[in-house]
Amino acid sequence: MSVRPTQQLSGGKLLSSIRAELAPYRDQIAPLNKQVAVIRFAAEQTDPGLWQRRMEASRVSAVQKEKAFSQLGYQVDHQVLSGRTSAADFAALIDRHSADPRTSAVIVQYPPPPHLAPLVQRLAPEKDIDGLLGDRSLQQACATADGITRVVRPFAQDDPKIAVVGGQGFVGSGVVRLLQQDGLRVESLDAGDDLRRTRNADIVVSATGNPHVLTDEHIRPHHRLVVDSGFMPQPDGSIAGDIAPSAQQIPQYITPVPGGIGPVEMAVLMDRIVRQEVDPGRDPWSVPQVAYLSRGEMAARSNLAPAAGAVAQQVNQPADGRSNAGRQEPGISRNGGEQSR
Amino acid sequence: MPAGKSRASLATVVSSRGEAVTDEEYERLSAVAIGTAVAAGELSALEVVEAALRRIAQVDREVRAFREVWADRARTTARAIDAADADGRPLLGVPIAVKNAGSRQVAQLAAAGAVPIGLTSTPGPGTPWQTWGLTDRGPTLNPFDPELVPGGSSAGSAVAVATSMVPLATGSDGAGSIRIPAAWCAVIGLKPTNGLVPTGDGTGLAVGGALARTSLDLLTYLQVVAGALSGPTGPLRVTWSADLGFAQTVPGIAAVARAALDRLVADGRLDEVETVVRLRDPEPAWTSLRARGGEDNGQRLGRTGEDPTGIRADNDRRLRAIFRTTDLIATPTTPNPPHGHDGPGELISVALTWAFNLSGHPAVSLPAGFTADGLPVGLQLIARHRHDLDLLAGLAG
Repeated sequence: MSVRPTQQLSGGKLLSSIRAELAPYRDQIAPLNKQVAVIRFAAEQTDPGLWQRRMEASRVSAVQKEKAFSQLGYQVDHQVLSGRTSAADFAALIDRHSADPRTSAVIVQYPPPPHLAPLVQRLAPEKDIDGLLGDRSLQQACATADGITRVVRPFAQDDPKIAVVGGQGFVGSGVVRLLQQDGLRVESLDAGDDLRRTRNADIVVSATGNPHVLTDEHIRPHHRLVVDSGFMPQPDGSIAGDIAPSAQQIPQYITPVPGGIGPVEMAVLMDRIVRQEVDPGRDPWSVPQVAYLSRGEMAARSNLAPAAGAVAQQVNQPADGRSNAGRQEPGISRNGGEQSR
Repeated sequence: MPAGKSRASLATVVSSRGEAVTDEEYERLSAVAIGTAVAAGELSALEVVEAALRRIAQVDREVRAFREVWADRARTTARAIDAADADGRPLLGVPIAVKNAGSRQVAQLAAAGAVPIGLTSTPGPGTPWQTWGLTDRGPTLNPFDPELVPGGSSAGSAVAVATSMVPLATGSDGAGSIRIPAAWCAVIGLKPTNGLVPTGDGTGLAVGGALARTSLDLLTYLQVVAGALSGPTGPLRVTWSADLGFAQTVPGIAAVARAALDRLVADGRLDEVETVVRLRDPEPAWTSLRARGGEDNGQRLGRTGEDPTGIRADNDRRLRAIFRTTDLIATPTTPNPPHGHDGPGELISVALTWAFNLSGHPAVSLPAGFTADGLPVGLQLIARHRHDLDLLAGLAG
């Protein structure tokens, strides 16, 4: 019996469904005349290429946030600062929004220039919608880590092993923390670790921002889910995630880049601000159960010995027909009904 | 670059595919990670030094941590490391910032492979308080609030570590001069047992020490400057005091430090025991000793017994009793948050630290979290004499 081709989990479809669900709140929010501040930094011509690409990714994300909050009825104060902004000026901007009752939330796009990063701690905790203040925040983690965790949960009902690559980073550490709070088995991998340990996992989350760091050396067909949180604009205008093209067709499910975790982050931010501002009783959205094969089932279907190691060693070639353009792309939907929209 | 220095990548997450060390990668690298990667031929010492110099060029214009930057000397040292056969020195190619250029510990660190990259700021003349730093470009700024001081006297060293210009910096501590700036800049600051890391201070109050972002880096530092010390043999007991019995600790500061201790206890890293920690305010003893040390260079002063106030001997007795029921004492590092550039006013920033310069006990300030205003708070741990490793072993980061 052949194995199904890799299914892409579309964050864009999820965001569309959440947006539709939350649309009615606009009538409550718009009359409040509130704003959300989105602060990002622009690269200079003389900055290193990697920094320029990071700031381009930051721009894309800030524009998406502006759209998401605007749709909910917020005005968005999208501030673009020079990397040479002084500490005093940045502190004054943060303080102004912290004190302004019109400002419901403040988001600082990461990474800010290093001399300004500590000043983010001045932000009023109740306006820290993205969990930038660590344990002083009302949020348990940043929106991206929260979104990744919500995507992982339906795949993690049978105590699977989860590898988080970049587990010491800003997003990765949040994912590790949230999954551990769920009582799940998490292995954090970071600089200095052998990343091939991902082969031992059932689920792989990658949040390094290091393009194509995971290849067919690391991703295996028994991986029921691979979450790719990388988003790095390339010189040719394309966007690279953490998962190399050679590995994108190997696992059972994968979040694409772009159109995967980026929109999921927006859906979390919309969800958070609605609960904070107008409907504290609303349940956070979740992702329903999906069908996947466990490692043992995978081995059985492949007519291989069920020994996990054997699976990892032998089932390393993608099945035929992966280039099928008509491949089904299920949304990461809240109740399954959104896919027809 | 000689054969064998292929920089195959620091386990792919960092510096993969032959790119130079980027600023973002450098920012995350601990001293131990750099030393390991340079020793393994995965990173070039020169590239690491260049990353440090870029970072200094980018950040220090604003925060003013460095009085001098030794770019050429650091590059020369790094080139020599890259040209030589890799060896297993623990700090090979690690850029460090130094408070006192001629100190013995800097020579020891350089012998362990570290690359001194610049001289950090200390207080200028004109104030009785030492919790600030000055460069010829102006005062050193707290990275968390430019209107506040970073603490001191190891002011620039704390800021250089906090802003990731270097992973490790030296300091010295005669009343809290490592621990206070560590607390106010959210880094780890270690004051070893007095005498373990000699300084030129004749009173014996001051001891050399270091600041870093990870406890592993400070364990490695201790190994380099102090050699083998005995580590903890089992779970350590800790007792809490917000004020040591006399300090006027701001409630918001105590709460943040206490919450950090709660997390260490909840994580099972420490066992909490109840003991009354009540010391006498050491100010008269410290001041008297410092004054006498200034007069006769202090060489003949014993550790105890020459304090006319009797406070030092009394506190020594009390601490001996306390350490019979606990392995560690935990306090806030300072009773107050960082103050403005115009001074601390009536607040005594050293109130919770200088007792242990008189007693000689090793102490560390760990980042505890932030006040409601976003200002860093330190959690101070104090251990028995020569039990410096108890302060770091098993702690987070």
